[in-house]
Amino acid sequence: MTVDLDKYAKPGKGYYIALGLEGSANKLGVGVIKHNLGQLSTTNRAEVLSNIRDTYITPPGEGFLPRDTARHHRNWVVRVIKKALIEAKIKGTDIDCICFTQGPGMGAPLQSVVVAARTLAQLWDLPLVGVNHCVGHIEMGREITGADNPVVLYVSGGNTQVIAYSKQRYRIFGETLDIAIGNCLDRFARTLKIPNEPAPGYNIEQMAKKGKHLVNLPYTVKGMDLSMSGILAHVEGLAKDMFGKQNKKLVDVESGEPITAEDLCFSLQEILFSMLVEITERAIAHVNSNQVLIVGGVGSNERLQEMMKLMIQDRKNGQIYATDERFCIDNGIMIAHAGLLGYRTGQTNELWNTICTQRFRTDEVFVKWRDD
Amino acid sequence: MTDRLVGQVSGYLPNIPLEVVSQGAEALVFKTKVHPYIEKPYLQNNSEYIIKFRPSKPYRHPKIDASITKNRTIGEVKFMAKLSKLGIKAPSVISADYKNGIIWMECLGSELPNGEVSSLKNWLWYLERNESEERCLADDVKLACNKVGELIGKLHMNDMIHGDLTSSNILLQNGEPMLIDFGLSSYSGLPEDKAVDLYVLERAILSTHSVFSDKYNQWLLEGYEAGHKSSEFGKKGNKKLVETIRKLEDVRLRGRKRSMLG
Amino acid sequence: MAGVSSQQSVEELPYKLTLKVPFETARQALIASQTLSPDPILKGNELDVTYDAEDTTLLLKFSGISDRVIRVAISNVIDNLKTIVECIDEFDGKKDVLFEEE
Repeated sequence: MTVDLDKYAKPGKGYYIALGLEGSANKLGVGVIKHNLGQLSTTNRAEVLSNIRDTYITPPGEGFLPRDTARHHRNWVVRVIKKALIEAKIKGTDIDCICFTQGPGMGAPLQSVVVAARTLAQLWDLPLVGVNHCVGHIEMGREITGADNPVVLYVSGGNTQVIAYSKQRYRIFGETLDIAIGNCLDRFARTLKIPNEPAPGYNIEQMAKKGKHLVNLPYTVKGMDLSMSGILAHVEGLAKDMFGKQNKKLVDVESGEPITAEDLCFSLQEILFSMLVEITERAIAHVNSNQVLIVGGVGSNERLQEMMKLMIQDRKNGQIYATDERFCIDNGIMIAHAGLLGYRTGQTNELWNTICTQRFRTDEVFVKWRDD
Repeated sequence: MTDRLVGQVSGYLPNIPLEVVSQGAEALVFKTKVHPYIEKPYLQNNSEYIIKFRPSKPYRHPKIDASITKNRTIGEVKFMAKLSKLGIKAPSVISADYKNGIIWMECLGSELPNGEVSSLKNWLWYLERNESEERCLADDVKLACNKVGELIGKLHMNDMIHGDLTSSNILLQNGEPMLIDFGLSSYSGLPEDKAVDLYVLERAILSTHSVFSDKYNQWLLEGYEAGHKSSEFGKKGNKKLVETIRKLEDVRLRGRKRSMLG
Repeated sequence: MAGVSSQQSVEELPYKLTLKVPFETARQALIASQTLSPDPILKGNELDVTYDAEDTTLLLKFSGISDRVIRVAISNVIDNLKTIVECIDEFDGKKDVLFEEE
């Protein structure tokens, strides 16, 4: 049996269009998605009409603070909405619902965007749909890659989770016990004063490609969970020894060659990604799955994708799915897509029920649009 | 499981007939009827043995890989030896090859009606899929959960940390639980480490057996308490229990706070 | 201030300020009020804000334990109002307009 996705269809209209607004961290994203009536399938795919993003970038060595990020979103949100509508070539009358990220994320940026969503929804008399950011990533990943029931590795600046679907919820099997992977990489980038443009993690990735000596770092997997703060402290300590006042020279034990900043990036990635792949494989074995889907900003890292691929190749009928940066990195289209799935199964949020929340766990969402 | 991995283990163990049991996350599990060095061993099951093989992981840097394989194999063997000395139920070690990541051990557990091995996970899933709700919460399930909790309590009272407590890593034999899979094990007397061990199990139950997880977790904790209150530990048991449970609440709270980051 | 009704606490808050924000239509004022009102006020025992629409005017009433608290609150509301007004300017009455690159 499948869920009826057209119970709330407008008579005489053969499709749905949703506008999605995302601003839970430093990316402001607005997207427009179209679903035709009927089940989504390989022959009836969701259609991305537009997907606009504007990223708040801070100077090297600085992270993004909630207040400043919110100001950035406020400055741009109306312009980005307009741009998304122009690119999608749609009018307000074409839209069925306005979807917004209700959490998790940073409070002030989330709030700065929901204000625009509420205003527009009232001006155009459209229903609002609140979306869990993580579920947005998962649903968009499934739609884009065609993975029907994968174990999901969700890796971003604020999240590190291994998720699998069961009984209408996305259940968290493993997660970080302290900081998120993206946060760990970003903070190390700040220690090294690597630019935040286009993204600190991306710049670490490029430096890691030039590294070749593996520096010893702790490996901290706990069951299907992992811990990263100790590793960060360790590698930051090394960086401070090397580039701080001490100006200490470290050498590779085997070759006698000096350790570089590139080597540190390389070693950090190797150790962290090994841990991520390991907990993903643990979850796969635990739930008897053979598909992996990687979502979230860190998911666009090529080395992580490569390692995951090597892992899944050793499993029977193993399949890996990943999306490119358009969908991996926070965006509005995933909010539109997941929100529209909610809308098609009867979800709308009254104004009083559109308060954003910094804490919103993935497994709190009742996944009404699936019943497998 | 791919042929590459089976080929790898056959290379390390020539002329040993191997029957594949399962592919876990980090190890392959085989059965064999051959004991490596004794004709008439003194184990519970003298007709079959388990061979656990940690293949090299091509995704890991070779240095990381070699060190993990070796450390975990050594760690697991030592942990199992200590468990057997303490009388905490787990398979006995027969032989090991650290460098190649191979452990021979006693073959315990039984087969469920659906042919799967009798891990706690498989049993609970079997009940959930084939039986009524009452059956899933019957007395023998409660008793099994209590006993598992008690076993973990005993483990922790000896300052031993499993490191990967899930329902897959608990094997049932005639209703008696035993622990397996000690690759992530460690030794610690800190309430924090014990609390994380419990938290990992609690979350695994929640995600794997979500329908009845509240009850299962409650029964596990009841057993855990009972394990500490056993007369062999005297007053110390209760003191340690209180410390660990208090820490467990901290660890849970950290979990909830963390999601504020978004 | 658990257990104390908001009415009572407002009376205990000595600093008051009322802002009147004019809109072109009563509907716009109402929309602004309804957009602002869902979000909870932090530090409810130090500050109270009410949002109302009277005809074409948005009425914002602040009460706080200090002028500083009120300043911060006003600054937040003004930030949100800017988004609301910009939305109204761009989108009000244009539901069936196909926007084009300027």
